[in-house]
Parts: sequence; C-alpha cells; structure tokens
Amino acid sequence: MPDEERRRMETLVNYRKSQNQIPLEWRDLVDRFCSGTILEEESRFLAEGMSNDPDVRDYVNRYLAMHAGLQWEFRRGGGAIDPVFRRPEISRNKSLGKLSDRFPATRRQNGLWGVMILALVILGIVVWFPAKPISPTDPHSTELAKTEGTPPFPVESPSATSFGQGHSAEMPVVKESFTIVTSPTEEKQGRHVVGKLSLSGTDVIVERNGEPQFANSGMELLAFDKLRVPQGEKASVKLANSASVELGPRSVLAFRHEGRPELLEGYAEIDATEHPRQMAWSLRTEMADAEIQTGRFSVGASSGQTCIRVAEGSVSVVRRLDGAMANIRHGFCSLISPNEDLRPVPSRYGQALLVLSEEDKPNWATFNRLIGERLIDDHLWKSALSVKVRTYDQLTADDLQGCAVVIISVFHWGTNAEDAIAQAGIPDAAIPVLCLEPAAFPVIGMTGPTLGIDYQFNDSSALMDISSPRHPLAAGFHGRGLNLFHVADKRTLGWARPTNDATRIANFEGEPEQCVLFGYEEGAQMFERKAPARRVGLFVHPQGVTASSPALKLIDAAIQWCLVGQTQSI
Amino acid sequence: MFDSEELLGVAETSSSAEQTQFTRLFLENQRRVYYFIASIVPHWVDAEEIFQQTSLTLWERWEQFDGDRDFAHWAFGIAVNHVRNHVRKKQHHQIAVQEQLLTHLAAYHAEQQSLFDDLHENLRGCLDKLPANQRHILSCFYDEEASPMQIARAEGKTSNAIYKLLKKIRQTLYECLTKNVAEWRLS
Repeated sequence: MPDEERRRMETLVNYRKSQNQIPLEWRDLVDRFCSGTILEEESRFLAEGMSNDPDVRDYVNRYLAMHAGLQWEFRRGGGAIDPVFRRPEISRNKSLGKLSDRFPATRRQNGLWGVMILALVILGIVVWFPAKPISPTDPHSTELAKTEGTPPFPVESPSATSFGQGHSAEMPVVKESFTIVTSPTEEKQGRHVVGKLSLSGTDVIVERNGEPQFANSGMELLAFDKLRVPQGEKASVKLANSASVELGPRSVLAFRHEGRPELLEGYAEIDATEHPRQMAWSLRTEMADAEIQTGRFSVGASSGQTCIRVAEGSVSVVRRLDGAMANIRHGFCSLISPNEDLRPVPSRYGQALLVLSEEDKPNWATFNRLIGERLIDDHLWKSALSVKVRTYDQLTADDLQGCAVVIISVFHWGTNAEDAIAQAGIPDAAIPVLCLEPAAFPVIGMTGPTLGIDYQFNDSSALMDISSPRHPLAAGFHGRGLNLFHVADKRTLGWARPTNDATRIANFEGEPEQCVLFGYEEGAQMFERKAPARRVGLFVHPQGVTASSPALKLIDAAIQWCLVGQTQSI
Repeated sequence: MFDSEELLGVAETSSSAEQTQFTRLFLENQRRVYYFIASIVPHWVDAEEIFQQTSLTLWERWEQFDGDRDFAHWAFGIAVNHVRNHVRKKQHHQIAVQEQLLTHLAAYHAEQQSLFDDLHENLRGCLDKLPANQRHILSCFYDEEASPMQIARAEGKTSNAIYKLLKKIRQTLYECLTKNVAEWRLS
C-alpha cells in the first residue's frame, strides 16, 4: 500500500471514528479477509487496527465468528463432525412436494430489485461521500480487476489451450455435444428428467429446490437436483442418454442446466458403453471436464483434485484451471490438480480390497485406528478406486475377484488373521498387495518367519532415512532422520529384513537393515516364493495416519506403484 | 471422520467411563472449537484439516486433561498450536491479521462462549430472513465452495459484483445478529 494511500485510509478511519462508527475501511478489510482477497499490506493495516483499538478488535472477532458460523452451517450441516454427510432432520414421510419454477423466476425478480437497490445505494454513496474512491487506485478495485484479468477458472475455448506436458495429443473429435433431449412428457414444471435412481441403501438424499428428502429406488431425477450418498451406501443412476453412473459412499452428484452431471465430491463409475457413439458424454468435477464417446471409466473427486481411471474406450480431459488437455486411454489414469502433470500413466482398473480388523474392543487406540482406516478408505475412493472392505473373519477367495490391489491393514495377535490371509489365497494371487501389518509379512512371503530377526516392532527411533529417494515409492521424500509417522507410540511402527531382490526405500535412522518401506517387483524372489505381482511392505500403523500426514502420501504412492504393474496393451 | 452417532457408539460400547466423558465433552464443545479455528483460517479446507488434527490431538492427550479445567479452554490451547503451525507454514497474505488473532482470540473465545453460542442460535434465524437469491449465493460460496469467479459465471454477473454481493450479504447478516444477540446489542 503506497504511503499516500495509507494516509488517505488513516484519514478516513479517523473521520469515521470521530463519527462514532466502525470505519468502513476496516469493515471492507475484514470482509476481504473472509473472502481470501486481502493484500499483505492491508492485512498489516487491519492487524494494527486490531492491536490499537478494542472496538475494531471486537468487530473483527465477531465478524469472523459469523463467517465461521456460516461455514459451520453450510459446510458441516450445523453440528456434525462429518462435514458433509450429517443426516438432515427430515421426515421419511415427507412428500417430494410440488415442483415449482420459483427458482428462476424469483431469482430474476430479486436480481432486478437487487440491481435497482444496489444502483440507488451506489448513487447515494457517490453523492453522500464523493471522496470514497471507486477507482482503479482503490486497492480493493485493483485486486478485483486483477482477478478479472486473469481468470483462474474455466477456459471456455479448448483451442486456446495447450496440451498436457509432453503428451502426444490424440483428442477425439467431438462432433456433437451431449444434451438431454426432453419431450413434453419428460418435463416437469420446467425441469428435465435426467435419469432414474436405484439404491443399495436407504439414506441417500436428494436435494430439490434446496430441500433435502430421502430418495427412493425408481425415483426420477431432475435437472438441478443434487444427490448425496452417505457413508456406507451406494447409488446408481440410469441416465436418460443410456449411460449409467454408480456413486460410491460420501459422494455428491449435482445435475446442472441441461442435466449435465457434476461430481462435487466422492466417487463415480461411469458406464457409457451403451451410449450412442456419435455423441460425446461429459462429466464435470471441480478440477476437470471429462468427455467420453463410448466406454467405461471411474472418477474420484475431492477438493483441488480429480483422478480418472479408464477401463474401456478413451476419455478426453480438460483441466478447468488452465485448459490443459489430455487423452486418457483404457488402462491409464490421470490426476488432475493445479500443480500436477496430468499426463496419463498406466494403471490397473478394478476394486481395491481393504482388509481390516474387527471392531471388537473400542478404546482410544481403536478410535485412532478406525479414523486412520477411514482416511485410507476415503482416499482410495477419491483416487477413483471402488473399495471393498472386509474384516479378516469375512475374507474369502471370492473377494479377490475383480481386484486391482489388496491393502492389508493391521490386526491383533492371536486373531487368526494370518490364516484368513492364507486361506483367501492372497499369497499366491497375481494381484498387487500393500501390507501395513508386520506380522502378515511371513504369510505373504515378503520376509522370513522369525520375529526379531526377519521382522520386529520398533522400540527406539521413529525417525527414517530414505535410501532410494528417486523411487516412486519414496513419494518425493528424501534425506535422513525424517519424522514421517507422527505416532505417540513408537511400537506401532515396525521393520523387516526383505530379501536382496527387494527395492529398499526407507529404514529406521542409521539402521539400513531395518526396512520400513520396501517393494518387490513382479517375479522378484521373495522368501521361498516369487512375487506373483508387486508387493509393498510399509510398516505404518493407521494410528499414525491423518489427512495431512506424510504417511498418507506414502500409502498413496505405494498404491499407485502397485496399480502401475501390468497394464493392458497401449 | 466419524459422525456423532458413530463416535457416541464407540464411547457407549466402551468400558471406560473416561472415554464416554471425553466424547460428551468433545461433542458439547466441537462447535466452539471449530468457530475458533475458522475465525482465524477463513478457507474451509484448511479449517477442516486443522479441526481434524485438533480433534485427534485432543483424543491423544485426553489422559493429560485436568478434569477441573474447562474443556473448551484446553481445546483452544491445542487448536492455537495447530493454527499457528498452519499459519507459519502457509504464509498467506493474511498472516499479519492471523498472528494478531492468534495472540488474543483463544482467550476471547474462552471468555465469550455464551456470546458465540448466542451467535450460533441466532444465525439460522438471520439466514432465513435473507432473500432467496442471497441465500443461494451464500450457499454457492460456503456449501459448494465455488469461487466468486465461478459463481459469477453461473449467474451471468461479474466477479466484482459477486464479491460486493457477498460483502453486502455478510454485512446484512452482521446487522441482523447485532440486533438479535443480546450481548452484541449491549456493547
């Protein structure tokens, strides 16, 4: 903020103070703090105001508390730990209600009134206080102008964009964009029928006109509806254009104008094999626009990231942030986020089998483990992997059907989990395995069987040295003495001594023989057997996994490395 | 993360009265903790992450909690550390305000709990008084996490107009709260 501007602002502030008002400038600044558009110098100015003037401090505190309250109300459903999926307090008997077209009409009318009132207010301000700058010299105006000039969001014309880094572009030529064709019988008070719902559970919610209601199987979905699938449930939508969308737990799908689906969060598997070949079918997420002509693919969407895996056909993707494009063919996947290379990489397609312990004895450790496992589960869904969860006592050989990767979580001693793993055929399965449980390594053949020699639980350091920093399993970590697992109890970490065929990635600090992270390529010699597919040992207890912990990055890298294994012909 | 029912389920089936006590206090105070965090960290994704970290730390350190102390006080203290780490790591433009907020906001929230409870109770009523189009804009911004630019595109307006509209709506809400929250009115 230039000195002159600062002096001007201080003068205005003093004037308003003399009028016994909270200065308008501070009100502006605190609001811009909420919107995330405050500039550094303005932030300092506001901080000074808070420091020097208790009235300003009170005002800022209350205003920010209100902002926090709005987040709580909107994002967290007004009171649950779970940010999105709190069950709304609505009656199951509540009728769907008569649909009305009040939405566009009211908004139009309110918009007109709003424009008129706003114009009068602006006129009043200009007449009443002409010194108030509404010019490019106003830092607020300047910032907004800057934002306008460099739109961070959708680039409408793909022709104005570049292709993904180094990717040879083979974009399918989309001759006709998909639009749902409506007939009078399909129209209900101005909204198009976009598909029909079938459910596996009972708590799926449809928001229509902003009103949540429990959905029923067979229910028709309309444009502008929003579908929320809670934890533990799934939903399937047969769209009017013959494609079908399977939604995973914790997913939100919205239908926009013309019935275009947008996956706001969660997992969707799209089967467009019956979709007419000459028409492109599209799905939007926060980060990407994906188009397919015919085929099958899965999408995982979370804040700032979209992952797409293609099983059949090819999907063309445009990153909404900058218009970068990529063509993802079957057997490949791509991660679309602001700073990632969106070039597709080979990937298996299928389910992730997550094997967990029974939840028999709730205690604090169990609580933490369950949170960690829930995070891993969530993360898998958002990586565009459908997740099948089994406890060790439920596990059978049939569970391996259609699996792209198996993740073995921790278990208690003496629960016969090792037998369950063996009986399900996991040791011989030509499916990649990520194992988090040291005691399971001997069963799978990743180490020898002797506790204390071939594997052990840690009781000294929790710090790691990365021995192969360039390997994908290292997830970009490098160096020595890293604190990658923030666990209070060091005994939740373990080490192993794999064979010489293993790639050793990380070990306990100063102990190169005590491997914490290692991998076997397919065909590598393990202990008394060859690896039927990739195998990864990662000695991290889910207790040490939080949403932002390095452990989750390592798990993510391990899963991606497993999935890259064998790919279909390219 | 668990939802409340699941968390209570864990507590109720537990043999430990202490865990049930933790769960009860946590559920009673989680909103206050969230308000505190989201007041300093305005972007909800960051606020959610810090809230989650704070919740886990509270759980992990429950044995250290002195039962004679106020749970919210204790929770604010832990949240302050997580927020401070976040603020210093991210180094956003807001850092000066955030540092200033960090110096006194925990004490303020702890002292003024009833004020924030009043705010919460009145917020929904004030939201209901907003015109439908304004609620829609708020919903786009807070619920769907659309940026003003995205909302502007969807609404056929400029992003400048959306920024101004959001400010107007928030200030309308603030005025409404000032009228309804007794302690605000008095001061």
